[in-house]
This record gives sequence, C-alpha cells and structure tokens, in this order.
Amino acid sequence: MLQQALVNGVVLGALFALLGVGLTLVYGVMDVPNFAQAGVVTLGAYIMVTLHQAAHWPFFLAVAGGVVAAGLISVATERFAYRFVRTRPLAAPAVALGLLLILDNSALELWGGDHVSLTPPYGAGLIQLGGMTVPAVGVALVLTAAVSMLLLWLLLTRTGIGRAIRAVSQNPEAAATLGIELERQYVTAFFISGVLAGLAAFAYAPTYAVFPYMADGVIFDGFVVVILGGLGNVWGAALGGILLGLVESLSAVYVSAAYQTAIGFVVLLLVIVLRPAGLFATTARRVA
Amino acid sequence: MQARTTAKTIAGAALGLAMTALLASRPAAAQDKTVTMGAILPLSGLFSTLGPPERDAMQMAVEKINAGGGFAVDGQKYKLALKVLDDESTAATVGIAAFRQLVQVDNVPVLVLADNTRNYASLLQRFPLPLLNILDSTYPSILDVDKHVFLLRSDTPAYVPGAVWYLANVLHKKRIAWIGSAADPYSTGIETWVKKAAAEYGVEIVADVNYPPGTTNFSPFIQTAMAAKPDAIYLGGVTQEVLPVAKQLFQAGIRDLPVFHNSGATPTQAKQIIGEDLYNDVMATNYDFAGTLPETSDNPATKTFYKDFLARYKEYPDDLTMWAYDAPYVLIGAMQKAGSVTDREKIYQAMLTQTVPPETISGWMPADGGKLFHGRDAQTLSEGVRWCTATKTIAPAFLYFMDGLKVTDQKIVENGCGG
Repeated sequence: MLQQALVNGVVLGALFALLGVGLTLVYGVMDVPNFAQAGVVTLGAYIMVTLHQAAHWPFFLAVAGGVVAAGLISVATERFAYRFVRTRPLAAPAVALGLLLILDNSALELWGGDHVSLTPPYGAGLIQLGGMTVPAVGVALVLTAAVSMLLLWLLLTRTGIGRAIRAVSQNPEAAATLGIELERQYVTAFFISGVLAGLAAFAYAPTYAVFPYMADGVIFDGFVVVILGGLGNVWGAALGGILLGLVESLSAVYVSAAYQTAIGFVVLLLVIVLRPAGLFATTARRVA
Repeated sequence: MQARTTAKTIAGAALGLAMTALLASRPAAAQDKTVTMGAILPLSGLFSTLGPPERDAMQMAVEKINAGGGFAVDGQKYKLALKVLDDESTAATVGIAAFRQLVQVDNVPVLVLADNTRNYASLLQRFPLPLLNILDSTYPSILDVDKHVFLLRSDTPAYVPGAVWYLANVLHKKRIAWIGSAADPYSTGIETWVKKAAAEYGVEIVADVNYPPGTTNFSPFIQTAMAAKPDAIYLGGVTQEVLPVAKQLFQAGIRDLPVFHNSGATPTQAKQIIGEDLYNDVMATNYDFAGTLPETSDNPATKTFYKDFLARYKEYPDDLTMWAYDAPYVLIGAMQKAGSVTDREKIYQAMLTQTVPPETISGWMPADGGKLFHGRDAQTLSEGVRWCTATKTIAPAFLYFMDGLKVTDQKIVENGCGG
C-alpha cells in the first residue's frame, strides 16, 4: 500500500513539477504569476486532439504540433498582454487572470464544452514494478517531466540562450548594459514555458479528459510548487512538485481522501510561515 | 412595349395589394400566437453531456407540435417556442442570471430545469411559477425546495436500490467499494441510497471514498478503494464525473470487477470522453442503472423517437432525452387544463392533477385517477443496462420498479447483448 502510494505520488508530482517549472521560469524572468499557463495547457491539448482526430495526423506528430502551438500561444500572451505591464507588477496578476479567462473561453467557443479524449497508443498499457501496478500513461508522464527538466537544465546552464535568460532573471538592467536583448529573452522564456505547458497537456490529458477548464484546478498546485521550491528556482520547482505529489498521495491514503488538496495547501502555509523564501531557496535569485 | 410593361407593373401591384388585403382579412384565430417555454440547461461546462440532448429532444417535440398545427387553449390557437439559456454548469451565478432573464424579463409562463434546483429556491419564492425539472434526482429530493417544483423522472430512491439488488442477487457480489464526488449532490444522494440498499440486501460497503471537487487524478482514491478488496465498484456522479474514473480504473489495471453507476452515459459519450481506442475495453464491465431507454422500448412512438433522434443528431437518445421530449407535451397539457397560457398559478394547479398526455413516450406510470404526477413526481419503470463489447453499445439487463426497498415488476434480461 505504501509503495503504491509512493508511486502514485511520484506520478502526480511529475505533473505538478512540469507545470511548476514553466511557471517559475516566467516568474523568474518577469515577476508574473502566469495563471494563463492553464489556458495554454488547455489550448495545446485541444490542438493535439484536433490534429490527431480531425486532421488524422499520427499521434506523436499531433503532439509535436500541439507543443509548438502552445509555445507560440504563450509567446502571444507576452507580446499582446504581459509586456504592457512589465513595469507595473501589481497589475500582472489581474492581467494573468484575464488572459486565463480569454484562453479558456476561446477553447469553449472553438471546441464547445464537451469532454473529449486524447488517447495515446499506449493508453491501455500497464507496467508491473514488483508488486505495484503503474499505468503506462503515468510512466509516460514521469518520463516526460524528467526529460523535459533535464533538457531545460542543459539549456539554462550550457547554452548562451540559457545564460542570457539567467542574467535577465538576476538583474535585467545589468544584463541590458552587457548587451543582452531583454525583449528576446522575455519571448524565449515564454516560448519555453509554453512548450512545457504543451508537454504537460500531452502527459496530463490522457489520464483524464480534454475540456475548456481542464487545467484551471491543477495550475494552483503548480503555484504551490513554485512557492515550495522558491520563486524563480527551476530545480526547486521540480523537487517541490514531487514533494507535493507525495504529500497529497500519502495523505489521501493515510489521512483522508476528502482533504487531499487541503493538506497540500496546509504544507504551503507551513512553508510560508517557517521558510518564506521556499524550501530550496538560494541566496541569489536564479532560474536554473 | 412601354405601355405593356406599365400595365404589367400596375397589375402586379394590384395583385399584391389584393393578396395583402386577403391575408389581413383572415380570421383572428388563424393568426397563431406564440407561447414561449423557458429552459435553463447546462449546455457547457462539467454537466454539458446533459443539456444539449435535452435541448434537442425538446426542440424535436416543439417542432412536431407546431408542424401539427400548434395547440389550442380556451379556443385560441398557439404555436410553441422554446428559449434555452446555458447555465454553463454554474447555476449559482450564470443560472441565476438566466432565471431572471426568462422569468422576469421574458415572462415565460413555465420553466424547465435540469439540475441544481436548490440554487433557485429564493428566486422561486419571489417569482413563483411552475418549474418542471427533467433530470435532477438528487437526494434529499428537490421536491422539498418549493411546492412549484415538479420532477419529470423517477426520484433517486426509485432506481438506485435496484442496482444494488442486481449486484447482490444476479451477480452475487457482496463487497462494494464506493467512489463518489463529495461536491456533487447527485453523487451524495446515490451514495445514501446505495448504503440503505446495501444494508437491506446484505451487501457490505467495504470502502467509502469521496474525492474533493476539481480532482482529476483519482489514483489515491482508487488505491484506497482497492485496498479493501471489493468484488464490485460503485461510482457516483454524472457522466463526466463517472467516465474519467472508470477510465483511470482501467488504466490502473482494474479490469475484471463490475463497475456500477447511474450516469446514463450513452455509447457516443463513452467514445468521446474515454477515447475511441479505449472506450470499448473500459466500458466492458460497466452497468448503468437509471430510467428506461427508448432503444429498448416496445412502444412504437418511442421507437420512432429513438430512430428520429439518432438519425438527426447522430447521438443515442437515452432516458433523459425521452423525459425532455415529453416536457412540452406536459406543459401544453397543463395550460389546456388551466385554460390559460399566462396565469402561472392556474397552470401550476392544473399540473397537480393533469393526466398522462397521450403524446408522451417515456412510459409514465400513472398515479391514482390516471394522474401524471405522484404528488409532484412522475415515475417510470427503471432499467439497468450493461455494455456489449461486440456491438460497442448498451443492452438491457434488468427492468424493475421499486416499492420502497422492495423490487417489484422485475425482469432480468439474461441475454441482452444477443450473444
């Protein structure tokens, strides 16, 4: 029972981590609580469903199309909305919520309110690990999160693009003085965040269903993860995601299923009170 | 040439004037007035599997009524119109605004609802009108909300216990794991009656799990339920709540236990929500207990409705579509009995005593004196259906009527899938 709960927690945590990393990346660069990320996940999932079922693209090609589209939609949110409040951070949450409504309702308008399914070729698969059973879609979710975060870490630490994003995150004025184009870094950060949202859609949709508000609830878990891990801290978000997944899974089994989500927020409150900078905070602000 | 053209123009104008005068001189009764019935349905959001087929079925009935010349009340001929507003599955906000629009602004004489009736209680007290609910069988009953509420379907206690009876006496299962939605009154009402029926029929509820609102990952709840080693699973909630849990049960490797629910999910919805590649396998062990289905009816009018609805909307009509189809006939019957299309109180009084309209197709079981409503609840037989993997559709498994917790009029269908 414990082992199965741990495995379930890791699967759940991988989703939280995937969402949290995208959120913390944008927050690190622009100080924006990007609630609209949930809408990007939703639109990415719908585009995958449409490409696969209506346009009859092969599944993984449709997923690739949806991921790229999610990246572009995320960039559009920056270009058409967030950039106008860059110097007014108090306005950013309101803009983010407004964008979320626009994106969700765009999905509602375009595809209707019915639940639809994104079913991968391995949707019925089961993997036995010792005495535990893990759905193939859960394994895919964990692998997607792990590979995404590894690639993101390599991008941020081993490439010029990553160094530029980190520099803007730590001190935009100094970065600009050194010749780094701020606009380009903002767009790049939003594109990466959108791609992560697309990957979250690919990993998450097969376990549940695609509908206009599919990510509105789970995005709050993403923000819990961001705060647990320390704002702007990518690895902190990854670890915070796994931690939150384990807490929610174990509490559902051993405490009360009804309070699963509430217990996650209790942990958040404890962290805010006892370690306000997050569990994995560092002295310097960073996005890697 | 010029003169001939002018003459033609004058003749045409004269003919037009004559036609206009002729039309204007038709008897007043031939100029049908229109009565608009209002409806608030979940056309989008969590409960959006419910609203669209109900709207479509009501629209079919309205079109048929009007194609037949409309209806007469107190010597005046009327056409019927239907105005449906979407509550977006958020009755407490959008639904309330829709109520105000239909009842206060549009001044509809009667209102049709599908769910969340309790949200309208205070408005109903201030603006009383006959309110016909075609779906909301939550427990405690919505009939307690206001005396103006009527329920055009059997209430929860009339069909849920039959499912537990079937589990115990036909499938011989004695250990049920319950997985339901804590925030959905439909689910919690079913849970109440599953427990009552289990106690009556000697079935043990070995796990009782309710997930919080917004849950999309059910693995901890499934794990908790399975740890109790059940021999059957009972899912609470509507189609869009039940089918994702059924899908995750299958994905978690639970593929040989019977899965019971009262969702009224159609094959089309199962395919859409679970996915084309998976739905037949996921649904293979599913049993769904609710109202009777038009597909399995012996009534020729019901069979015609089934064929027409399927052909027009490419969607299997289920129990709620029949109830919705009947709603306009019930409301017309009440207005005719009341002798008014506008007096809400008279129409309400007429509904209390009206008989079963002959055009209805749901197979209403009349109360004493042939009245449609038993109090304010119209009742039909209930039906359990099972999934047929060969045809990827549903077939009857059990027809029954509940007298308290006693099953009456039962018919077990041994070979519903035909093979």
